[in-house]
Amino acid sequence: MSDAALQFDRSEVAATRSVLLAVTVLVLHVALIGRLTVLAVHPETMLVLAVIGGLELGPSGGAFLGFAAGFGNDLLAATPLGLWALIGAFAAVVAGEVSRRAFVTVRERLPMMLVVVGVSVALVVYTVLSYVVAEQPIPLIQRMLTILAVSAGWSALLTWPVRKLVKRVATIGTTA
Amino acid sequence: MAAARVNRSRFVLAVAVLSSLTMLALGDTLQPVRSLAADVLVPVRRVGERATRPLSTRVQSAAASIRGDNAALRKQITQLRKELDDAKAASLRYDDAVRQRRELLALQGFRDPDGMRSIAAEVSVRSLNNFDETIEINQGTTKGVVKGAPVVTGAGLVGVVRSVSRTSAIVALLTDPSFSVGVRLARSGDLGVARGKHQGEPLEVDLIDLETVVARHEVLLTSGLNASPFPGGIPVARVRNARKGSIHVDMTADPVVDLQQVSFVKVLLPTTGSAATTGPLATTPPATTPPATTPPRATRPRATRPRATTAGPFG
Repeated sequence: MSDAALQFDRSEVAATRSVLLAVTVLVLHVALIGRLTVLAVHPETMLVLAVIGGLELGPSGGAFLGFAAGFGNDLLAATPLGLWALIGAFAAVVAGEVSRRAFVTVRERLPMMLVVVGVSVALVVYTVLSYVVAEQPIPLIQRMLTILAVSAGWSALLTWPVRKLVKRVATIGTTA
Repeated sequence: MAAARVNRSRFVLAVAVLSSLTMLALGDTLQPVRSLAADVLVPVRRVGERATRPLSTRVQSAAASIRGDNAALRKQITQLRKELDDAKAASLRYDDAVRQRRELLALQGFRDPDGMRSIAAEVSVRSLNNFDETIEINQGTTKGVVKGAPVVTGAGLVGVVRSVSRTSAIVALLTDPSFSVGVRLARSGDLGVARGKHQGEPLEVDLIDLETVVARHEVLLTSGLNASPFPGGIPVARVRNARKGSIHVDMTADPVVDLQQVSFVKVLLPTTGSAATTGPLATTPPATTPPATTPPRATRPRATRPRATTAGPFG
């Protein structure tokens, strides 16, 4: 875990920062990023935030940020409240554990790849859970593949700016 | 240190999971939270919509041009296309205004079904979620909009109100996979159920009797039966394809309303103290949607319906 992440983790206001970060990204998503579509697929901005939260802040800090980001997504979706929050928290914890245990080099050099994989897996899990928990119909295979492929592209594009934002928020109030 | 970190990680995850499961268990109890968030986010959404609309129309124009390209002709018409795109971009606002005026005129001629009143609403935002086919309209509980209310245009059915906040409402479109509506064929009066699949995909129509003769482009209307929230007689879709299945006719149909272009809608609400109607919905049909010429089911005895014997479902 980086110094910035440790500082974030130890901070008494970490939770507040996570919430503010999630709200900021939610507003950006609603006002701007979410309006972008390719083949009728929007960027999964809040999921990207959750996964990057796990990568940058570790499992515990990431879990809270992932939960907040997922809850933001819940507010925009029609599925029962809590489903995206659950997915966001899990995505962040898994991303945090994976990056901490074995893929430090990958995390530093190819964060985009981890984000793309993390978001794709989270979308598949969401589809299954929304069918099981909320009895939502599963999208057609062709549509699901389109969502996964285009979301991967969007996630790759969003990795750099979202990672910068998370790092920036994590280091507020700390000395370089 | 490492053990403490792992414990903390597990603790945070456990709290997050418990919170999520609690929210899931509470279900609709937490709907006010979502409504409040929708109200708070409305200004943000509208600012974004206004800011991105010019860019969006330009991108759409460019995408439409690209789709229509022919490789062999591209070199010859590049210059002309550029000029045409410039002209298109300049006229897009005018075209948009004309289209909106046409929609408003169609809505103006819309007559409320018996026992129902309607309120006009503007589509403010389209879905920001990859798994929903929804639009947001700018009328909410303050104007009497309720969950489950049908939403229509002058051309036909658009969808149903899925959730509502004080100043806005989310409408599930016909094409949403969770949407279904009872329909009847305009000519034969046979009943079925139309279900959404996804944007760009036709509706799936089930439970149409094997003996039924189906005409290509035949109109499907809401059946209005069995205490349906939808009044009878609203145009829903036109038959795209039909073939005999093992038990029923396998049919697909295209919505009569262009759901990607709709800007103004009407929300149908029951008038106080009246039951939902099952009578036909009188509308002023727009140029793109000819009216169904078939009389309503009540005036057309089932015995007189045309039946196929050996031919396929298309008559």
